[in-house]
Amino acid sequence: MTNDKPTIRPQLHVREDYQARYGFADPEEYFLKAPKGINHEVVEMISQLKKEPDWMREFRHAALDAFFAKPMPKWGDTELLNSIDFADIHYYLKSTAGGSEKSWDDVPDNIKRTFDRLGIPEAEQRFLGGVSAQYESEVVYHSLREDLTKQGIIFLDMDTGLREHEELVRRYFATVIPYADNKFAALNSAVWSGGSFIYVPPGTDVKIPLQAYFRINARNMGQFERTLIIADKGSRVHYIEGCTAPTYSSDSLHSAVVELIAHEGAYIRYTTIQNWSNNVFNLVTKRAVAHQDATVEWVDANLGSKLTMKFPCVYLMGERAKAEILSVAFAGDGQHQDAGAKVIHAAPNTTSRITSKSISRGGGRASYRGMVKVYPSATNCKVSVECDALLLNENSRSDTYPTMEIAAEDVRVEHEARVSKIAEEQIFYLQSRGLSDDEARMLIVNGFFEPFVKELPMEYAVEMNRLIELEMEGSVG
Amino acid sequence: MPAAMIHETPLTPPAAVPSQLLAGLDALYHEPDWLAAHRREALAAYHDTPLPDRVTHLWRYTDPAVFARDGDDPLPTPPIRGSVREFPPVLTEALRTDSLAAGIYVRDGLVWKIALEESLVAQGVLVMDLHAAALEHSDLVRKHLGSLVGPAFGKYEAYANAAWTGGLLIYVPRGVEIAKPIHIVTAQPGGGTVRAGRLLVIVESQAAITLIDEYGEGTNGDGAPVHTNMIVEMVIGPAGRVQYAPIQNWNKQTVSYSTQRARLDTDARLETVLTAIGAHTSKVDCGALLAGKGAESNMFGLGIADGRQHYDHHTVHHHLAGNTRSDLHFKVALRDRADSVYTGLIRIEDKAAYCEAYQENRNLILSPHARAETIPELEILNNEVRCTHGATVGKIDPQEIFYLESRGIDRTEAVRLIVAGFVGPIVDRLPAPAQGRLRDVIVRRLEGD
Repeated sequence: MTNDKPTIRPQLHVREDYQARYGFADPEEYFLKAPKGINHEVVEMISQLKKEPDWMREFRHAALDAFFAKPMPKWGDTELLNSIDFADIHYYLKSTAGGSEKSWDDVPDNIKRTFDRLGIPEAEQRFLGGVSAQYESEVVYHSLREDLTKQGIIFLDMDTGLREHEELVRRYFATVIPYADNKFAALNSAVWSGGSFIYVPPGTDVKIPLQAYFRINARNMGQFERTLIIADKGSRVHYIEGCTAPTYSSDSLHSAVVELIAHEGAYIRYTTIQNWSNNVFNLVTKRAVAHQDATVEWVDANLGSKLTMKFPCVYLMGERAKAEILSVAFAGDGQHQDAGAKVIHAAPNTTSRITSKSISRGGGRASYRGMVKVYPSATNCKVSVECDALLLNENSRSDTYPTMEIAAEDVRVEHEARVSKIAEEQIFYLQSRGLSDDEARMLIVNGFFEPFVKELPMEYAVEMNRLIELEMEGSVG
Repeated sequence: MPAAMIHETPLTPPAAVPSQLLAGLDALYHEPDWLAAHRREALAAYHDTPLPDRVTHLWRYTDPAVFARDGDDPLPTPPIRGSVREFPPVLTEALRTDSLAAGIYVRDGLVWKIALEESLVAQGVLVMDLHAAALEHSDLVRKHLGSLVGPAFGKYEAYANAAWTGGLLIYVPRGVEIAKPIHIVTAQPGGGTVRAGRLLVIVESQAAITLIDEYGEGTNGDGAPVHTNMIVEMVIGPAGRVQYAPIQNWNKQTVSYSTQRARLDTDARLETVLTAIGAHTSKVDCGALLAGKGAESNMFGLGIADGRQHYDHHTVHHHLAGNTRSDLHFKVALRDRADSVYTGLIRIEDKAAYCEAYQENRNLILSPHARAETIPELEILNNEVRCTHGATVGKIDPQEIFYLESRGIDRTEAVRLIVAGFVGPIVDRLPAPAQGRLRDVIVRRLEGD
């Protein structure tokens, strides 16, 4: 009988564990650090340093003007947003004299130690097709398996991508998210550095996931990576990103722009496990375009950060295009996860499915904020939005703000949301089967996140389960 | 044998015309100082509050400027002196058949005529002109007027607080249960008029009423738009029960703005059945504050729009106390180029444990160019809670039509049956005297009549 009992691993204390595994800081050693504050000189410096073509330099300056001109958002957690001190942030920090190394041995020792501690090379050997590791503003290590290179797959850091494939970059860069899209996209466009550039040739199936790992080490650091993924006709790719930072008392800002282009019949899955420390503002613009018969999937998990505002979006531009967005948020003490999804149906016979799961505990606040828009020409569309929220104690908060704008007659739009706590009957039942109170709650929370975890590659699923376990420890009830 | 009724022709309408929004209103109605001060404060708030920004919550889909026709300082059209004070046919008929506890006709910014069952007068029930009530029951009115929708609520609520005329007070003393409905008909026949109205309902503990609050009967548009701005406040005492049926049936030139709030004390119950079938543009904010343990609010809404009608409905169920319950079903059917926005908020405060809250919004789109926006919102600050919401937008399922056709029913009739089935459960909730009449109106509207 004892074999039937689910194995629950010994539980760790969440803060101690984050500190040990991710929250450590290395001594700040840098090759070049921009002074605090944002102005045209900083932008010029970044562009000069990267020896960029004129069009990119001009793009950056125009974006900075847009950043200055745009007001702060008047919606969302305005109190937290307005606490960001843009003058107190380093907008560019280069840790090494070198570029992105192709061999792990060439990565400077101090950075290597960091990523070794985070388990990056180990993960690469075990199950990844390619790895990119970004430290502060620059990508320090980059590799792609030889067989994938032979297939014509491009997987580079964005800066190298711009140098080596300028035509391709110029054709697609900022076409999905123009620099004036919103204040934070404008800021990213002005000072972007690093990120991934991926091109998958027609008909190519990248069978193993490509991964990027983002690490902020310095205090008051701004990380502004820029990612562009182009999946050409009929190709398939899965990209995973993870991120962590040391725990500091002062705030850092992470503001990425991610653009995905899925050409006819292509498939892109973009998985994020966001695990920033609780002093990072995570304000990210992510948007995809799906052409005819293409599928875009965002799998988005938000565990860390102080305030996350992130609403991965898909524009369904061609017939029968599909969007699937799975959003998971875990808001603990001092955290506001303002996450969600956006889908724009601009073509007939398109379908979208949004699933959101959130847990709030210990005074944390999780919000689902979403938008589904169906244009008049987008006939015979199907939309489904489902939100599930668990509140683990009485001072936590859960919000649901879905918006559905439907201008077509021939559509089916369905939305459902539920907010609840863990049912005492369920706990009681599991306890009657011999589980402790903690174990029972853990099992229920795992079950709650199950639909998300099973979408992850196996190794990530294991890691995710461990993270959930760790976040849950000592916090329930 | 009809019950004995007391008929009142309230207050003489003012002879003079105010030259500015407030100048003279208080003098004309001999209002007490506190009310005059309240109006001044509200006017200042109206001037100080900027026009809502289109990116702010609740104003994303409706242009705020349409409600401020004359710019910054719209004059309410002065009340019209009437010679013959008759009830409209719908009230005359209902009173003749003894199916009402009270009938009230508000017309042209005046309380035109009131009929109230004599026995209720003896029990202390008040149904009276709010101008007169502010004098005769000053403490009661002062305590509650503006307590739920005051000048700080919003720009147009501030305007209505400053400029209302022809308001009504309905007061039901402790323990008085009125079985038959009270029916208010509000009409504003003149094109080009701007008016603000007011309804204050106070239901003491264990008292009960049914209230039909109908707008638009008797209007016949002459082309010029009519602007109307209404505030309804309902204060429901412990274990009080209110069934409230606002029926918005303005003519299609009318621009209507309406804010309704109810406050429910311990174990109080409110059932709201909101019907929207008229107006060119109608913006409604209808909410209940569940302020006492065990309070329960059930809201049913039905919106039917065609042509180029624009509806913007907002509902709020605000759980301030624990062990409260709310349920909401809001259905909208749209034809032609009509559009509807529905924003529904459920908010449960951190101290409000053991609440249940449900919300459902369904939109039926009957023409290719009609459009629906739905924004169901949850703000949950307590974990001892059961809360769900759902929303759908869609057209009639072709399989349902196919099924009915296969049973020998022609297509037009099949559509009619399906739509009647869609709106039926809400219409069934309307108080009896209004139900049959509205069912006919709604069916005709849905057939494109």
